[in-house]
Amino acid sequence: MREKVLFLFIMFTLVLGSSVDAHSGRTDSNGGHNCSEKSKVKGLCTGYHYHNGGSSSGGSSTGGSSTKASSSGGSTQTVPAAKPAGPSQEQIAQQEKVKGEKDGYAAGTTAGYKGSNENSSAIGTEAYTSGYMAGYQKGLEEGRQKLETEKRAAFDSGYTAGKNGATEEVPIVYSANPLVKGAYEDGFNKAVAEIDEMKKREYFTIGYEEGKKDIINVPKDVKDLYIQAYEEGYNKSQEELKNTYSKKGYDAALMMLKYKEPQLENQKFIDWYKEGFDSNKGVKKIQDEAYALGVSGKDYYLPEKYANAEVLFSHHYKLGAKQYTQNKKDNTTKAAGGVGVVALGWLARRFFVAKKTIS
Amino acid sequence: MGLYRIVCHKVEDLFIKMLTRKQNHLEIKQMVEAFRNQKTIEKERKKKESKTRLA
Repeated sequence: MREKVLFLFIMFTLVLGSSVDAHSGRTDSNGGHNCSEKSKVKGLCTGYHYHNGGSSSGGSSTGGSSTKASSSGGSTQTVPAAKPAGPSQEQIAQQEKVKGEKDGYAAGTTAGYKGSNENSSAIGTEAYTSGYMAGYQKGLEEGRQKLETEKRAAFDSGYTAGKNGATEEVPIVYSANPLVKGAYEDGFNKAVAEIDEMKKREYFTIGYEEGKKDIINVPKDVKDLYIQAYEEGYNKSQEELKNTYSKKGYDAALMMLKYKEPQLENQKFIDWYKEGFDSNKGVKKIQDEAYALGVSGKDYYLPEKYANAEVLFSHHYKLGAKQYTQNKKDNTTKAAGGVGVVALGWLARRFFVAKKTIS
Repeated sequence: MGLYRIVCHKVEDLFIKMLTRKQNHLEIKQMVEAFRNQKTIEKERKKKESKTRLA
């Protein structure tokens, strides 16, 4: 009995021994599979191999169940070593595609971050190229997004720095990418431009107000831009002031028979007033029309268009009317003189005849 | 024309009177009438002559 039990134990051990030589991993439809890393380490197999009489198409098998003889009682079928097993075309293509995607993504990210718009091309298998292009597009988009995000941050930072009056020096963090650096500079310049614009308006207003008061205090130690704005404001108000006094002088010419200097403290204003007074060429026309009306002996009437020049018109009408009276008087005198001469001639003739009569 | 001649004669009479203040008035008057008659006759003759010439 003891011997029987020992025999059975040995037999059982042998059966188990052959089972231990087998290894894990499910078989495919062909009854084979790839050797796993663990199995390789253990030396059970090396590549693709078949189990249980799976249809062999020449896969490779070295150790493990593949190398064991089927007669050993194990379930593994041996595949000849001359026909090594490998991944299918689909698997290879899949692997190539994954690699292409990875490479393309890296290239696309870099290109997108650099702001490049160029399409990339890959050299390799069709699967690799396809994966590369897909990965490139994805990477390009992400790279661009990253660039845009950094540009916005740089712009805001530059704008803030500009507003705070910092120097134009670009911080190191924004210096790596020229586009990001440009965004920082744009933000900085925008802030500076806004400040300049605001300051220009301020200096323009100051210049304008001082020009009105005829005071000039050109700002010192400021940008030329601000000085220019101040001068523009000053000149504008001076021009307005000149127009005001010139207009006063012009209007006065219609109401004044003779120039009378205005009661102004500033000689410049007086000069502008006189300039306006002299520039009124309409005065001569009004004078001539009024004088002609007076000389014609017609009754006085003020044309509507000269309503603001009544003093001038009236005065020259009177001058004309005076001339008219004088002319009339002269004509009467002349006529009377003529009659006198004729009468005298007649008397002389009568005297002559009388003398002849008595001689 | 008659009136004009009368006025002329009156004025001439005044001048004659003034010029012949110390002379005989009657004599002067006759001289004046003779002179004026002669003038009238001469005038009428000239008138007639001119009419004849025209005819």
